[in-house]
Amino acid sequence: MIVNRLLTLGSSRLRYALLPPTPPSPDPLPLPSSVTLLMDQSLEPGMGGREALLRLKQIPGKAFKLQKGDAVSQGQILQLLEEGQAVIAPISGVVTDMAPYVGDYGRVYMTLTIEAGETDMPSGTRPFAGSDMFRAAPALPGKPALPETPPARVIINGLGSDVLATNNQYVLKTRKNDLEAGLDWIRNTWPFASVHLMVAEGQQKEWDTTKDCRVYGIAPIYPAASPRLLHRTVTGEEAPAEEPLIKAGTLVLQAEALASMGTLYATGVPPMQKLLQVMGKDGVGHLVSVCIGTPVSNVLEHLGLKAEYGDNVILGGPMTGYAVYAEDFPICPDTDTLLVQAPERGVPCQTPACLNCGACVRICPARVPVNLLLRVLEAGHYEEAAEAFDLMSCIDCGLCSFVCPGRIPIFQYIQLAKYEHRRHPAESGTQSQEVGE
Amino acid sequence: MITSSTRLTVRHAPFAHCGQRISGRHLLIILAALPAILPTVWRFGAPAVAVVLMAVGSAMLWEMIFQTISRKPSAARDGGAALTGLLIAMLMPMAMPWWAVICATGLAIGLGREIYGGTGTHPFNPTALATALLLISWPHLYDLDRTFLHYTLDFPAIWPLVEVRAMGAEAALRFSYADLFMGREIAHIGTGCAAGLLIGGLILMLKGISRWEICLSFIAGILITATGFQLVNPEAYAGPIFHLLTGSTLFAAFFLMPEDAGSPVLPLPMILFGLGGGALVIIIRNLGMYGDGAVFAVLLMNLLTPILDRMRPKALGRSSWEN
Repeated sequence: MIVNRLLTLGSSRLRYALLPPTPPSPDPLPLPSSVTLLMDQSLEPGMGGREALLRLKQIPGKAFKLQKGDAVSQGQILQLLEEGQAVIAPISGVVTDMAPYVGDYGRVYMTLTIEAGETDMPSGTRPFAGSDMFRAAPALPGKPALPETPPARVIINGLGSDVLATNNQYVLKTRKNDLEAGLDWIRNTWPFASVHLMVAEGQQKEWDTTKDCRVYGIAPIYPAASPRLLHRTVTGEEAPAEEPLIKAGTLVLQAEALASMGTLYATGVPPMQKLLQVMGKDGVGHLVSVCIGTPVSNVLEHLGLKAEYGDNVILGGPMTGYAVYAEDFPICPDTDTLLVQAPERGVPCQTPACLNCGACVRICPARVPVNLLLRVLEAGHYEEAAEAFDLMSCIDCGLCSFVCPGRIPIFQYIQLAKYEHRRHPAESGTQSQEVGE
Repeated sequence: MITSSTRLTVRHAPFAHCGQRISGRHLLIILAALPAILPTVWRFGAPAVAVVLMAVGSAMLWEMIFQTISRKPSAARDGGAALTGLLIAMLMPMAMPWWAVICATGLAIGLGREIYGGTGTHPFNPTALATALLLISWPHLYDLDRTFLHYTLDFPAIWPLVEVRAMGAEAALRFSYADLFMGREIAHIGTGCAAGLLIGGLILMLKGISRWEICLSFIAGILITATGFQLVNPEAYAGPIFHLLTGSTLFAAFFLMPEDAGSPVLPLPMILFGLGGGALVIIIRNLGMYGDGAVFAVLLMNLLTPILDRMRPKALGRSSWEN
């Protein structure tokens, strides 16, 4: 791990992994024989888990715009329902399987498996049009989340999304033309938005020539590249904690996302290769370029890594990522890191009483009183936590759990509380309905 | 379809840890306390060792007993009870009878820790609580002048704080600061050697276990208040350096005040906590009926911690303090 443990007053500083000035070129993976895509199917706010899964299954098969056995071609936009998220077929082939899948905190997805094969261009497929940018965006590498309302400022994150992710730095170093094309698209689409580029400290000079783009150098100390902290760096103000960042007029894009949009804008061909930082149990890092939807097992096999019984396979970095239960889980558009961790290297979860040592409070970048918050969360008082103990100010960096000497799963408590707090309005609605009946 | 032949384990982020443990913290505090005990052991020998071992052992036994009664898994491995026992012993004279040692550790573990739920849950510093209870119950056991009668010493064999209380500030001149600093004085097992305490304290502050905000502001509180008293009446009240080097001032500064569970965690509350504690120690010494009384100051400040903890900065993106 990249932990700099300074003796000075016991603070641990976690630094983003930085690429060397001349980065190694990523190892390209051959196109897989089959890909699995996740289609986000959030049905209604507050609805999740089993309930949503049932709802999804109840939709008669005819309502789906896609069927098993449909031929799809590379670069085609696929939609399951009239409304809802689209995905882009990364390879040509046949849809062989569609099944619902429940992710963390009740997020419901449809999985779509495409077996590669020589297929004729399906009828009704049209070439990619510029107006499809918004629909295509969530399926592009880096997962640009484009808002419907024009943002006042666009912040481009040139650091990682997690401590080990180096894809954005790589893109900054090697894909200047794509980034320029992406910037052109932003200027055409949102002419009044200001553009800000965040790079690691000391690398501003390379970017000063980019026109109409303010460049900031930030110290690569985790979690400086967290969206809300970037917003504060740019505006000098803090966005209201309870509302999404876009309400404050800020859109944060990963550099890789911007480059993907640039490629699509300039060439009309959606890029489907995702940069991925892989680290096996030996702790050696590999930068690979993978087709979106490739199963994790393919990546591991290619690199000669192994995940054995009981290991953790973690997508998305050690601080904020999630462990998956199956090796066939696909690489998603926003998967920047893939880790294989032996169980004994992990953090054993314990739930002793909080020692009140204050390490979490002092490291919290959002000034949340974690020690007080934890006591309410343990009791399950989520409303009180949100009102009096700044639950919603948390920026999900996971540093509190990282430093806790008691190894209390604080981050997990906070995630659960946020989830319960967000779906509370829906919950109280159903309660009042029941009372009415 | 997402399936797998290999069964993987699913856990929650983060998947990394800085490596600090509760047991590690406690072990480090125990190690940092040794430089203060060793000079006493070297000078007074076996009786001091006996009290220390008796206290540590009985504290751990008491913890086992209470955890068996309350049907909790044993927490002996985290070292909390051992640390409490050690700190209690450090506040005792070396002629303490064995039953009083066991009584003190029983009070500290039972009433100070386990009744609230064990490590980290107690509102009061268990060491200070047990010592305060014994000081009230059997004050004669803590009478240092009596317990040192058996030794022939090459320095004034009288407890400096008592001497100053009785004889006025001039009595302080009988003690050289160098003697007090190096531990050539009459004191409790772990509080005599200021140099040793300073070494341990510096280690703890550098490692971030005893917060420097609390330690230094406590010392500042001592110095400021003692200077104030001396300015008002230089004949009755001894100077700040004397107060700093005698009694359990430094012990309280590095080991009692910054104890995790009972102290605040944010910078400004920590500074207020320390300043208040320092001022209370001098007030109790100069105006109260106890010679030292640092433990009472610690307990009183522990009471204020929940209020001090509320003095916190506005969190990210919050518009006001309460909303």
